Amino acid sequence: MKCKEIKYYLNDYADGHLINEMREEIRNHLDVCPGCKGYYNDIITIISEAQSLPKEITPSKDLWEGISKRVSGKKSPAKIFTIRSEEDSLYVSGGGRTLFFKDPAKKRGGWFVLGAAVTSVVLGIALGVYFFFQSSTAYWTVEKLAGTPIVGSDELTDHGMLKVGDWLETDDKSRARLKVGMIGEVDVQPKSRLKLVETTPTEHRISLDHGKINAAIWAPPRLFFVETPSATAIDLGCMYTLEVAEDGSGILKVTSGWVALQSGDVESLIPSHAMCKTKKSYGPGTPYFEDSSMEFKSALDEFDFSKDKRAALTTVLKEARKKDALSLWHIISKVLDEERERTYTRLAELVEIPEGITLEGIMNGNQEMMDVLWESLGYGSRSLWNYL
Amino acid sequence: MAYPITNRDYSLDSDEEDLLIKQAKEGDTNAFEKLYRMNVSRVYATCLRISSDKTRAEELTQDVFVKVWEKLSFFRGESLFSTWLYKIAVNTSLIELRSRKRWFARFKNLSELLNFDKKISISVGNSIDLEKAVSYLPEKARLVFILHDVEGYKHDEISEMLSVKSGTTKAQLHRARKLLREAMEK
Repeated sequence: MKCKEIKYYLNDYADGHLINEMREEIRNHLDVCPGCKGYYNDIITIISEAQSLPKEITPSKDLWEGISKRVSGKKSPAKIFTIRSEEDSLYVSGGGRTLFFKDPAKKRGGWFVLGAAVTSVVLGIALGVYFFFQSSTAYWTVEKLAGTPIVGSDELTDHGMLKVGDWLETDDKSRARLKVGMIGEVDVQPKSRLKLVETTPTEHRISLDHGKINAAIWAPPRLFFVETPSATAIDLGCMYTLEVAEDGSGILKVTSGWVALQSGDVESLIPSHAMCKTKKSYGPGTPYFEDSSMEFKSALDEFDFSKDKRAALTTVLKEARKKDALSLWHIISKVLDEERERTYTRLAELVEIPEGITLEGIMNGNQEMMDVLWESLGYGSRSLWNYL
Repeated sequence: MAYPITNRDYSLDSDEEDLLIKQAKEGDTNAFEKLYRMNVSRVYATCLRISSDKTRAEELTQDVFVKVWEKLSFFRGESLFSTWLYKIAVNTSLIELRSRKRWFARFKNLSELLNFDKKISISVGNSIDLEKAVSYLPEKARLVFILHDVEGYKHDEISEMLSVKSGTTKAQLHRARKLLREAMEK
């Protein structure tokens, strides 16, 4: 090998990633080539210096007080939800649509509390058992709800297993229910096709090629992922419905909790009762509330998924209500210059802007101001969304 | 009782640590505070390196421990508690960074790096200068360098953390070292 090739491999050589023969060749070359030897020594010096950087740095103040306040009285965030499947398409518009899940916000009596407590104990035991056997289970159980779902190439008669890599397919008459380990359930509606990509204690991931699912997840957030052709839905502790069309576009509706729709560096944060569309080559659109005006939704669709954004933005801003600040907050980061100013100005008309946030800061992309602005909209701190 | 900010001098054997974890799982915040003080400096260092921001690193450190408290029931002792904890610190910091970057991308390019000797100079053997030099690396290269060469994670672990292929992490690591080397030569 010549010096150029040798240098190409010197990092791998320094990290011990090369096979013996190549190591030997490079070692021999370094013995006779001062240039490459010097290059190699520099790499070793950098690695050595990096390894000697302090592993511990003491923060300037005691952080425990803040942590203590946040953890006191707070236990495992596990939630109990009940799926009630709904077969209507999310693509069909119309008011008064039935929610897909029971509303956990409804007040419940003492029997419910007692029942929930008993269920919690049972779930706790089940979780223990689950984790005991987790290492040997790389599949989910699947239950037939209607018709004849297909798992792999076999017809599902009653119950079965969906292994990692297996496809589950439903025709126009069949439905199935997946048990996501012990962290939740997914109902698969007719005319759907999905694959189990991964199931580990730290990540459960399916790929929804097309069709519709209703998911109820009671595990800590960011454990359950649904890949679609145009974005990935990341569970943040919630119940939601996700529908993917044959062309790869999708629409997500959150019934309870929060979901993030992500593609590359674009992420839309969707709270309860909000929806978000996603399309191939565009990624996730802007979240919006289901009860916003048709004009608003139509213009938002044009803003997200067409080239004539300017006119669409004008309509979006005109039609926005106070509640639609959710959408405007997302739009701020998608537009620049005059459009960003217009969006922020309209947002400032709709909601009270907290002290310290300035137009100049927003125009310059001040992240702290955006975070404070988000909090002021009533969706909790940004860190809540990121780490919950 | 007033505790020092950290409690690094107080060493625990594994049985004591197991007991504290068990107590914390049962809701004992005093036990959790001891675990916090044993590990806060290490967690803060990780958050600080990834975020490059002292205030944010303090917030992240708090978030990490709150998250750990909430997830304690999922810790099954298959790895060391510290290993589990530090991984949460890395992931939490990366998620926050991605979130920040999404909205308003931080722009640190090669020319910035190559010109940074106007601001500082690297002298090998001076770890403070290396720390600063690393902070001027392009984002992906910086993260991979921190995770691999400073934190000691392997490429497959880093590729999982960053959701990229391991070939990409190798390329970014080489890039980081190359840029640091070039900066050293200036």
